[in-house]
Amino acid sequence: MNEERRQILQMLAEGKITAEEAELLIDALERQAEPPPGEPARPKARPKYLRVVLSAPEGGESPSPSRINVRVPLQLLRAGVRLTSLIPPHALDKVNAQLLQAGVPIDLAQLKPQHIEDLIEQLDDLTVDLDDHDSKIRVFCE
Amino acid sequence: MTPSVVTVRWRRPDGTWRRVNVSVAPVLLALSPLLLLAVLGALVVHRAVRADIDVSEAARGLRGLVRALPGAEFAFEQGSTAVLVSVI
Repeated sequence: MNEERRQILQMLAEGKITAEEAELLIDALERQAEPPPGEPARPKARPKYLRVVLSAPEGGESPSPSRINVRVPLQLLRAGVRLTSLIPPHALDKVNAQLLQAGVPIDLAQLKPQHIEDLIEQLDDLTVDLDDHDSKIRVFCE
Repeated sequence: MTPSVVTVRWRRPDGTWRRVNVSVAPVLLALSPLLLLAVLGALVVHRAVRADIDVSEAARGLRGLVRALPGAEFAFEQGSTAVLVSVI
């Protein structure tokens, strides 16, 4: 509750204003808070964290219910992928060969830091829900 | 922003929670001789194997990684066991 609204309610509680006056004041406050027509709405706050939640009920592979909850700052993700640019080219060639052998024909040498940045930018809208019969995984940004 | 405190919380068998706040700076200070040795060792290995890695770039990357740590959190719960580690 913001300070103005609290003050209005306080005045109402003290009997300084009537309920109708309080309603009018609160309406005026809400109109003030709304962006004027034509002006674009304020952009949504950008997520700062990637959250991974894994929960497994009792039974299945674990004898008791378990839950893992990991919060990773997106900045950490960025810093981590930036480190991949340090991988020497000959090591990249080996990784590419192994990926190709495993049926994943991706050339990591073509992956530039800018692409990775773009990828992380788009993570904002990512939500992955995976429901298995004995576990549930949820990945999202917040 | 570099990490200043690491908080570890765990649940004891009687169900009560314990919490330990570890200040990063004193721990780093205590471990600084070992860290210095590790850095020197890494530089020697880098020279010996002639690794094609830019040392200054690697140091910058590592600094970025450490500076991005605040806000990271890991919580694990299974049965009566529960552990929470968070970096502030």
